[in-house]
Amino acid sequence: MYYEPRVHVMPQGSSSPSRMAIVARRLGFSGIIVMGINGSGDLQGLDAAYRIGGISVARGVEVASKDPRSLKGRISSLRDRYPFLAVHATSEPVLREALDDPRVDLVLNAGFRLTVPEARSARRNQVALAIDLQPMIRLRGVSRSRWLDLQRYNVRVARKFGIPLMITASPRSHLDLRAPRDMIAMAHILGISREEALDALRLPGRILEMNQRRWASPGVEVLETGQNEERGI
Amino acid sequence: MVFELESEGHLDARDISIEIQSSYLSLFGDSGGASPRLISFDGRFGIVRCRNGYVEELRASLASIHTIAGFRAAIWVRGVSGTIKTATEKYIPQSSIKPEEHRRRVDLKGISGVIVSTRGHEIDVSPDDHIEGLDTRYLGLTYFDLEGGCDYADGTSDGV
Repeated sequence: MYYEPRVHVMPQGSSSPSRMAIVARRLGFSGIIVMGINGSGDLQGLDAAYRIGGISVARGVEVASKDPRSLKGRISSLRDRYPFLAVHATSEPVLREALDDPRVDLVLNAGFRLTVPEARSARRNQVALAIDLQPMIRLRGVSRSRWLDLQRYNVRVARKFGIPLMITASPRSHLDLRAPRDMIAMAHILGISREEALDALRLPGRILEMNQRRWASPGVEVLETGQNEERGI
Repeated sequence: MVFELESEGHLDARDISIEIQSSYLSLFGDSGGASPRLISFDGRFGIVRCRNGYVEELRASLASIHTIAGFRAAIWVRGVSGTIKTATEKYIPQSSIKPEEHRRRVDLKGISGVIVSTRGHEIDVSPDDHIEGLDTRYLGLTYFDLEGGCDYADGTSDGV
């Protein structure tokens, strides 16, 4: 039920996909999404991870781009190849563009306060906002308190505008993984209630499931022949 | 509260106690009420005590630990219980971590190194080349990554 939506494996991280999968299973996750950056190259050892029972391993792609125009191009070329697409927003124009694109599943905000128009477009396009707990684990003191302040603000905005959230620990090593209950406890410090945190942990699985179905247009699903019925969301 | 610790180096109870205290103080300050205290630690599993009603605070502060005494480490909470006796009986299993004595080598595409320790299907490998941009000393692999899947070179089962 619970997913860790942003796992980096070797060579960006220091653990193999199968090690991540085994540790995540032990911690109580039912799936992980292994991220490649800009879809470059094949990740090593994914086949070994697929063989591990009791946990589903999905492939995702993280788009990192400096300007909005190249972002659009990358999203178009990568969207159909991966069931999960995230954008790492390293600048405000990229953040705005990513929140304005319904093909994006998840936006990683690298430290900007969400503005009202950004929040409106995220709501309209159902783009999820990632709450990355890694700074909470890494930072101490003033920098962490500043980060906490920013995240609390963004959580408040997300709640007000109904933007979906996802919680991730952004693991690059199996030592960075955190159990769902620990993540809920950490999210509580950011002002995320238990129910909201549970929804946030379940959301990646729901989105993966939706993306694996075939949609003719928003709200119209292509079903197999013989099942001639239209199904709305 | 019973926790499980995994780290890249040998840690004793004192290091962990200091880190737990400092992590809690850093996150909740002097006014935080959990007053955590390390009761026991056996090298992998430990028990930490806190005041009733502050379990979630302590959980968050344990989860925000990333380095102990200079070694990358992770603390995962196994379970919470009212008494030390039930905590021990319920959540501390017979652990089976094995330091690797034969210094077997791993040579895969792009990765080569010496096996440091194994636990179940999990292997820690000390790489030959330093890897840029990573803060861990060891690489985390599994038997599934090795050629031919699950092989037990010494003929015994490492089973979990």
